[in-house]
Amino acid sequence: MQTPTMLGHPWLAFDGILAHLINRELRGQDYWTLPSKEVVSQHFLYRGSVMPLAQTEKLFHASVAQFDVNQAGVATIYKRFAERHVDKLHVKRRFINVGGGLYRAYMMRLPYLPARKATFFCRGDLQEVLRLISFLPGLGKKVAYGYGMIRSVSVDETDDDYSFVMDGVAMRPLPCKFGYDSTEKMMLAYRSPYWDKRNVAACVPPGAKLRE
Amino acid sequence: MNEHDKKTFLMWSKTKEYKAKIAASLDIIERSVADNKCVIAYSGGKDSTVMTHLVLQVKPSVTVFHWDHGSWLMPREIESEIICNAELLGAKDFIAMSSRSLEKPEARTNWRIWYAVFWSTLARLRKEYGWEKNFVGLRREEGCKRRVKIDEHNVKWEVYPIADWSWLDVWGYIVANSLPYPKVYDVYGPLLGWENARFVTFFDMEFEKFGSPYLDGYFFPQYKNIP
Repeated sequence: MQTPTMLGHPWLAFDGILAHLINRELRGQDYWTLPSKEVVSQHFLYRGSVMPLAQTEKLFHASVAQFDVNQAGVATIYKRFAERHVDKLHVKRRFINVGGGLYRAYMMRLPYLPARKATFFCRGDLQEVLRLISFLPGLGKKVAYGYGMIRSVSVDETDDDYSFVMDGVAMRPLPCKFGYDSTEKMMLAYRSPYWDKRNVAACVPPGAKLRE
Repeated sequence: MNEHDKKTFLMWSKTKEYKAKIAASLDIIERSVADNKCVIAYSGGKDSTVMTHLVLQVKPSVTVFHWDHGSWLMPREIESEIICNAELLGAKDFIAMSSRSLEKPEARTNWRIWYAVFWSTLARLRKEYGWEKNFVGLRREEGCKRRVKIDEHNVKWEVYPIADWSWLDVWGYIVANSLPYPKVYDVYGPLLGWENARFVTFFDMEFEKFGSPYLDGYFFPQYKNIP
């Protein structure tokens, strides 16, 4: 990684990143005008071979990011209406409301990880995964602000599949309804889109030791 | 809280300035409880914890009122901790209220729901119990809006005994008196600074402009989705 990665959640799922890239590619220009108040169907991701990852039940074989640091920091992001651009407004306004709406001012504290390396484990079509990743400028939140910029990508092939479990530890949210069990359980989204509450179920969280 | 911070706050609690503020606060409290039926507004945060302790030192029978924000905004684990802390502070007459309308996921995005329910409930209880003075743990240092609210003092039945306290005074009092406080502070205190750590409702979009839901998302992911 070139710059620290900003996160709004401790786990960054690789299938979520790929789903985003596929979505962007398949929808073309329409991607940028999607409705913001409704959930858009993503059925094409789960049909056929669009997603270049192996799938078991409803889970794609992709882990969450394994960062080389654990200690998070907090940075403050400021956003406010810039008076010097007031002449660029198309509609004449008598005042600008910075307390809400389009020009709302922010002073957000966001967590970041100063990681040099983020590792993902997955099983699938390596060529296609690499092709998709080539369109990804950064990881996490606030990439446009320069956070989470990717310096380089390297790939290693492993003999075993570590996308679900590695040394008895969950590598991604594993739903209890699929037979996974642990002393630690959480209500988590287990498939993309991870922000969609319909995908939330009781899961073994990444990093938890699985029960035999 | 680490030992270094603890020592710092303890040292502060021995200063003249700190002792003068305690004396001033106790004076305000004594005058208020002398000839009024009082209630303490207890949220569970550091300021209301300190204020509750101060008031109960003067008059242990004062009612402590707590508003439960519901499981979407306040995880049950934290809510139990707050109630337990109130008992440890010595609250004998403790009233906790909530509303069914807060037991919906919309409580996180539409904070006007709870504001309306809260104020109407408080007005009803005030009549019912005959409360004349309400102790509120607001401090001038917290922000411009609070400073204006305290200075204008438009809500006449509210009393602000710790209005002039600084964050150092608050933490000094907590450490010096070994008061219980929510564990959330131990996560956010070292990270944001003890002066900036606040105890607010979880994943509340009212505080999105401050990044609060994102910090909660990273440090308390277990509270994001409710079973």
